[in-house]
Amino acid sequence: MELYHYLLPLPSGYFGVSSVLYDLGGLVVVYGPAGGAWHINIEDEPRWYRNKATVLGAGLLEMDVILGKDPAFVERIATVANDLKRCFVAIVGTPVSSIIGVDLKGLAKAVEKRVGVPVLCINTTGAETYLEGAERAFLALAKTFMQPPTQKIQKGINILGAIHLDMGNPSHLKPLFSLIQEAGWEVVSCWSMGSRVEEIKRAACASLNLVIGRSGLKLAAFMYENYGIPYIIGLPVGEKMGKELVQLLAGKQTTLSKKEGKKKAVIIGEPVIGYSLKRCLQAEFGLKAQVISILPFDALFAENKGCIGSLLERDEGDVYTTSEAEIAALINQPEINLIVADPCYERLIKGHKHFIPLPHTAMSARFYWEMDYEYIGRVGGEYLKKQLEVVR
Amino acid sequence: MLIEKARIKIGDLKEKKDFPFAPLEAIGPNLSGWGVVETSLLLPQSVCLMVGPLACLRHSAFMAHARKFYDRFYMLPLEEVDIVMGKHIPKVKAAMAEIIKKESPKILLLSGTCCDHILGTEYKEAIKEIKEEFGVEVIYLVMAPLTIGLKPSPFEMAYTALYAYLKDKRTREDKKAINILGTFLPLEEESELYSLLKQAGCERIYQIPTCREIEDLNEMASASLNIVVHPLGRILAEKMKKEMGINYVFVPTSYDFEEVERNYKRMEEEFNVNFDLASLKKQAKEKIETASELIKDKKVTVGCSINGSCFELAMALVRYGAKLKAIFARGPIKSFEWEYIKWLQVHSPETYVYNISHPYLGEDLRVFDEIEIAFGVDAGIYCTQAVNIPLSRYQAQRYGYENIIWLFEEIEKNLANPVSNYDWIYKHNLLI
Repeated sequence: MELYHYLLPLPSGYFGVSSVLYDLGGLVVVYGPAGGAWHINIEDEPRWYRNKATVLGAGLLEMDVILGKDPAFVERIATVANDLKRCFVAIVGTPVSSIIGVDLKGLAKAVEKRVGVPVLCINTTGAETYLEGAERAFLALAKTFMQPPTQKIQKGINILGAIHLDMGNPSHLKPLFSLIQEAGWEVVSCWSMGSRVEEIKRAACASLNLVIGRSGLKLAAFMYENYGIPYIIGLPVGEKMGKELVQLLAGKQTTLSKKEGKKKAVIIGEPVIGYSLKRCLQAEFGLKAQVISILPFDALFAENKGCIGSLLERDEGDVYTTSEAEIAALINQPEINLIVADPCYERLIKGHKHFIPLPHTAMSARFYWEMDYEYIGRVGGEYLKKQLEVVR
Repeated sequence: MLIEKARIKIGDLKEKKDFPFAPLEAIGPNLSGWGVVETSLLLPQSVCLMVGPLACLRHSAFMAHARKFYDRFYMLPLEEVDIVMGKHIPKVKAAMAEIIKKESPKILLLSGTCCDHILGTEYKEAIKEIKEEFGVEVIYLVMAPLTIGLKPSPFEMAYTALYAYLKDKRTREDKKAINILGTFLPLEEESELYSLLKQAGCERIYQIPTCREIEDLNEMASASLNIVVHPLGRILAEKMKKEMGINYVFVPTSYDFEEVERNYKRMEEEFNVNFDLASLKKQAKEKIETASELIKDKKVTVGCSINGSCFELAMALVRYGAKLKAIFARGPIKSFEWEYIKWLQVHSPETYVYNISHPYLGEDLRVFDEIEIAFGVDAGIYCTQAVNIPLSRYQAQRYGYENIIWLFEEIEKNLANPVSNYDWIYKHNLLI
């Protein structure tokens, strides 16, 4: 029985789509009752505040569903898209559109005939995880906008898998950009926090991709297959991993010496971030760590064509689960001393455990959006060090 | 200008169809209604199980965490295919049983979503079996935004869910007992309305949020009158009148002096008494005299997230001397609000009425730069230069002349120490 009580259910597919597309200057129409878009804007998407309309609800009502008034909604979507002059329109599915069997592809085609911009159809149902929605949105973006490279940028890099549901406030990515630039590389595009469609269009000019989130993996494979761009997986946390990434960017394989103490930590969250934190905890602080990933992670360790380096290493004890009961059981094992996770998970702890808060928007929505924390680069390492000093 | 499509001058707002149509929906969860789960959990000794797709559950989970009632709230994610095939019912039944064993509630609220609403899922049998097995009251309700704008709305349906519980509990009439319907935060025992009702001989006054035990709730079925202070309670009051023979009086929370007077007049007629209002009126008048200077000739707007009717507050503010520039409303306009609109058409015809959910509203916020005070968190989003005064139902519940005094106290407090609209939304969680 997968009951949720202390945790929030993860965002579903269309939240993931919205997270990918939000910064790109398009219009995302959530094809369902009004609530679908409201939830995203008010709860999961702080970028909404006092900004122009980006994620809108179709506002389906009971009779619209019963009578199937799709043609009327085609006109409405086209009217708004034309009036607002956005650079693309995306139509995404919801539980309601899924249950009544709306032909979203047909709807998207009909809208496309009425607007002068591309229309993306992303057929989510509201029951899949945000990962699936984000992956589909990334691929739809790539297929729609990416152009063959006019000229390769030798030290040009794309950052893939950067969605706010995993990365949080865009400011957290600054240390990564600095590290890449200090290593002499140019960020061609970031999929998709902070980039515009123009940058997405020229992403094929890059010579390397860096996958920093699980949601970017399929996109990395797509870019390798279609444009021959190889990729590296991982996020540098702390100074040592920063140096390691610089080595990987230079085409050199590295191994990081790890100290392992007796204390055992658990990290809960997105797997690329989770495994990167694990590596940092082991290398810099001598802590054994187990990853509890709330997204499937096998694909990160599979034989991936085009993957030329990774900062991630799996262990047998690492698990993928979204079950509240299972997570509670895992973190309450007696040998676990330390938990690094979103503050919501603290409610599952019985007795005393050391806890390092690391907000994950996909869990706690906007509750900790402005919390003072870091997890990337030198400042990420410093945050962990400071927190560890408190708990020791 | 695109904004023209999102607004109409109140002088031209003659009937329902004149209200600006939003082709797509931009914002809205703050609007007019209350959270479905939150409302249903006003019932004492209750826990709620919501069942549905992940996407639908997350919203309610967010609210549960923001308002800290998650200890009484459970969620069971379901696959669409299971819902369509009806395969989810055994899972839902098992989840109900598990929660009842763990929490021992007196009432279990089972909440479905739009999916159940569309498909007409029949939980009756499962509910009956659970009731028989555990002796727990189970009330089914549905959180279906598909029905927003319809009658009853999802919020009204949630509030009216209480009827399912009360309908069989009326065994007698307690002439000294009355119910106040439509409060979220409760009116306090020391409040003005309580003291007036006691003057009128009401010895027992019940509000859903003050019921601590299920036995208190049972007593609501014996009341002799329902006083409805928010439109949300009206359908429940209608049902209780029709099916249980309990009369009701609709006297919505007001900010205007004359409206307050009128509401009390209605109550006096109902109880056949004369309230002693002299000192209350005096205090309110004194407050208006001293504090209305603060808003005199100030350019103001009113949003529909305030506790009460945005049109009624707008009318009150004009009467208190403010320059009313805009009202942010959401359709459909309620029947009792047309009276206020008609008054405003005469006394403030240049005021614009905006459809708060219109997607063009955020395109150029400079339109609202002249606004000095914005009432309602939703109005505050657009009026970036204004002092924002929420008057939210999550802050306090006042009634009568006390509500007028509260209005001016909030004006004084917020003008002296403004809180940003961002903080009202993101730190105080007044917009969900």
